[in-house]
This record gives sequence, C-alpha cells and structure tokens, in this order.
Amino acid sequence: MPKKFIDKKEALTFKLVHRSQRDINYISEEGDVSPWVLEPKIETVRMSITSSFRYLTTDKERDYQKAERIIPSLPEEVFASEESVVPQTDVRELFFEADEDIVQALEGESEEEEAWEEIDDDFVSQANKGNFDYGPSTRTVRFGDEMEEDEEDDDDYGEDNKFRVEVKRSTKGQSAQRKIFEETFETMVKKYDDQFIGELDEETGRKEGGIKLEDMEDVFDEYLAKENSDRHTIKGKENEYGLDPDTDQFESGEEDEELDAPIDPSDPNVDVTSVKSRRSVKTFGTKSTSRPTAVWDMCIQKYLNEEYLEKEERERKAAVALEEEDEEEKWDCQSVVKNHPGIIIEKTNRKIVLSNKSGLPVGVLPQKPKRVVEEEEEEDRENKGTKRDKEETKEDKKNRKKQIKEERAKSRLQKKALKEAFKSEQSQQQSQITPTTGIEAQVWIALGVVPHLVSAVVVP
Amino acid sequence: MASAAVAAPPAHKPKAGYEQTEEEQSFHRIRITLSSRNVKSLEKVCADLIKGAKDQRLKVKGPVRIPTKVLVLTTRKSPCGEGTKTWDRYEMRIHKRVIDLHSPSEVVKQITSISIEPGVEVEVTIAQSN
Repeated sequence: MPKKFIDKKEALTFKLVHRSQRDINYISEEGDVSPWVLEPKIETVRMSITSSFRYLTTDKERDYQKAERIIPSLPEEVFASEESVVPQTDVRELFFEADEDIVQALEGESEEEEAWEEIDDDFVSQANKGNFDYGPSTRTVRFGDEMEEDEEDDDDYGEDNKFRVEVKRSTKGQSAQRKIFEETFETMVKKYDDQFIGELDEETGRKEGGIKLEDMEDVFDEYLAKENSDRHTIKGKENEYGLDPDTDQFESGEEDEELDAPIDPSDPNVDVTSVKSRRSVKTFGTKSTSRPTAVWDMCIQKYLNEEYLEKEERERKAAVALEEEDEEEKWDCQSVVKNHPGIIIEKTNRKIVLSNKSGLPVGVLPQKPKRVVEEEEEEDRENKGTKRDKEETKEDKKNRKKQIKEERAKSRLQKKALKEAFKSEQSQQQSQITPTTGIEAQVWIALGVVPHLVSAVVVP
Repeated sequence: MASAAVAAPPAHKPKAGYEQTEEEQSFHRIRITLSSRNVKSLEKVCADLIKGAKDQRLKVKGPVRIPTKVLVLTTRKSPCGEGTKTWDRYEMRIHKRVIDLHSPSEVVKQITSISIEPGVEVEVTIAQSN
C-alpha cells in the first residue's frame, strides 16, 4: 500500500467553528482576524471489543503529546484565545431614568460616603424635597425635569467615566491545548467511581472478633494464679531484668493502685473481667520476655478447644457434627444391593401381541416413516403489499387477478389435503386400538358398542 | 527535513517567485474534510478553498469526492395496518469532499478565513511533516 498522506495517529483533528463573541480577538470590523477558529475535535476510537460490550476509548495521552507538538507550530489567531471578554455596557444605557446618585455609586466615584450611612426617619420627604405626590402623571413630569438636568451633567462627566466592565475570566476561555489536557484528566477521573475519590472514610466498619472478654475470665484467673505462685520461685531471674522482686515491677515503674488492689466482685463499679485482663496484660511489660506471651497462649488454647462457648452452643455443635457423621456412613438397603456387581440381564415382562390385521407382532418391526406433507413456507401467505401499477393494462390486470386466483385455489387444495390426512391418520389409530373382529369384538357388540364407530374412544 | 510525501511528483520545480524553502518553515500536511447535505454549497466552498490554496502556490490535491451516503427510512404510510400497503421512502444524502494540502504554518491562518456557507461542516486534520 502506498504511504498515507496523513497518518491519523500522528495528526490532530480540528473542527472549524465560529469564533466566540466573548473572544478577545472577536472584532468584526478588522479584516485580518478571521471569524473562524480551529477547535480540537475529541475523537472516540473503538479500541477493543471485549466479551459482550465494546468500549469506546480515546488515547488521551497521545492526543496531548500530539497537541504539544503541533499546536505551537500554528499561528495563534487560528485558535480561540484564552482570555474572554464580556461585551462592554454603559450603565446609562441600562438605567435611562437613573438617579445621579445611583450612577455615581455604581461608578464608585462618590466622595461623600458618609452621607450614605445616616438616613433620617423622614428620608422620603427629604428626597422629594417636601413635595410628596404619588400621582403617576406628575411623576413623569418630574422625571422630565430631572432628565434635562442629567443631560447637562452628562457633558461634564463625558467619556472618561464610561462604565465599563472588563472581566477577564481565564477559566472560561481555553486554549486548544488546555482543552485537550482537561479531557485527559476527565477520562482518567472517570475510571474511578465516586466513592473512591477523596479521603478515606473514618469508619469503614469496626472489626470485631468473636470472643467476648467475659469468656476468657477463667483464663485470666488461671494466669494470675500461676504468676503469683511463680513469683516466689523465679526471683533470681527477675533481678536480672532489673525488676523489683517484691513488687514485680521495674524500679522506676508506676504503681497502679486500682489494678493491684484486691478485687471485690460484689462491687458494681468494678468490671471484674476487665481488671483481670488488664492485670494480666500489665505483666507483659514487667516480666521477662518469655512470659508475656503466656496469657495470650492460654487464650488461644481455650479458643481452640472451644471452651469459651456456652454449654448450649457446644451441644448444638456436637449434634451437628454427629448428624453429618451419620449421613456419610449411612447405607440404604437399596444402595447396598445396587452396589453389588451382578450379571447383566435383559428382562422383559411384555408379552408378544399379534396385530389383528397383519398377524405380525406389534411394536417389533420398524415402522415405515409416514409421508410428511410438504410444508410450504408461511411467508408466502403474507401480504407484502405488492403495488398495483397505476398504468396497468387490461391484460396485466387479468394476469394479476389470475395469479391471485391460482394461489387461492392452491391453498384450498392444500387445506383439503391436510384435512384428509388428519382423518386417515385418526381412523388408522382407532383401528389399531379397537378390535373389529374376534371375540373381543363380539363382547363390544354385546355391550352395545359398534366397534368401527368407536370414535368417541379417546386415544391415550 | 523535507517532507516524505510520496504523492509529490518528483519533477516538481519551484515556480518563479516561490521563495519559501522547506528548511526554514515546518510544513504541515493538512487534510480538509467537508461534508454537507447540500451539494451546491459544498462545491462552492470546495472551489473557494482550492482557489485560495492555489493563489498561495501550495500543493493541493483537488477535491476527492467520497461516494455520497444515502440514509433511507422506509415506513408505512398508514397509521393503522389497514388498506393497501403503501410505503414512504425518506432519504438524506450526505456528500463529502476531501482536500489535501501542504502548507507552512502561517498559511493555515488563511484557511480559516475562507467564507463558509451554512450547512457545511469542515474538519481539519493537521500533521507535521518533519
């Protein structure tokens, strides 16, 4: 293949759009600035088809790299400018009937700012200079006077104080490059769900174990008892670690009165288990390194032995275990028998029955496959709306009508054939079931039933 | 350095007055795709573009006419199903033209200052040929 003129992967695509009215360069009078602008086109490229969905993605990073290369090489006027300008407005245009004070206030040129702070109670009458008239007619007259005043004043104020709003909002106007950059960011952010953006939640659910402190109470008892007995035997070792042999604490250690005092179980304020646990734990820091894990080990042992479970729970668990055992080893009478290997036997309980008509055994010889009626396509029956040519000659009309008639005749014949087929089939089946000759037939007749007319007999 | 466009005829000699050297300016390969539903305005814009480019002495590949796409909607005329089955056939034709240029950066400005008719969509694809 010959080399492509433009490789899409290396090229940037733009759309030609009208320049925004808020663009700084939007000056329709001057000729050198074009009213058109190149705006980058964000292309979606189907990157892969995976399982049941296709996702449209863009290679944004590459787009940005391309942009960095290509855009600076093009003249600036071709792109929309970054800065935007709100078109200028003159306040006087907006408020034709404005009071001088208001205009002054807007323009910010009032020197007497103190005058604004204090308003007397009768400021209305003061404003109207004593003439207080609500009538609309007088009002216009009034305004007429004021307007004349304003016009005179206008010359004084002149063009220096034209009220101009120039807002440079760099957030609105964007250069082409910046736009691509923002698109890149947006696609990246979209990868993350809302819940994953932002700080981590403080409470992501407290994790708790299944063992209650109370269950371990006897463990703590055991441990503490053991420790107390040991204390008197391993004195030497304690001295080695700098412990005070009498109090079992570091020389500089703190004394905890609450923990060391004897526990009064009847005291409601004291949580016996927690005190015991804390005592046990406290020994961690004071005993030698081999001992601190003792409490922990004992707790673990107890957990493993499941002693901490309450009695009922334990029994329940045992019961479940028993049940499972039973099922595994249960042997059924039938399963026992079935599992014994035996000889392969072909057993048939059916008696050989001869058919009345042919004398051959029924259900033994292969049956001839019945002739299947040719199924015509159903679609032919649909009316697809064949147009009737407007300029149809008589012959054409005849032909068309003839065709339709033929089709109808054909379908009639088919219908008849189908009906006949059904009837014959039914009668065949009937004759196979009900006997027409022989002893059985006589029995039927005696009962008052005519065999060949037994169409009321339902064929199972 | 020089662009490696195979399509450039090898016997191309710079015309008199054609002062730009390829080393000084980076040439861009530009593909302009114009699409519209209306042939007349489309052809007009095409002609303007090509004329403008030729005035600038640029290498232009004339408007390549992509086969027009005809989008057809066939619907029953009747709101109910009764009557002879008559059908309506609505269609929309989309015409597309492609123009290729080689131009230096400054001239890209000129492209944007052509007059464009309403209804014609212009897409510009730019690649650097360095």
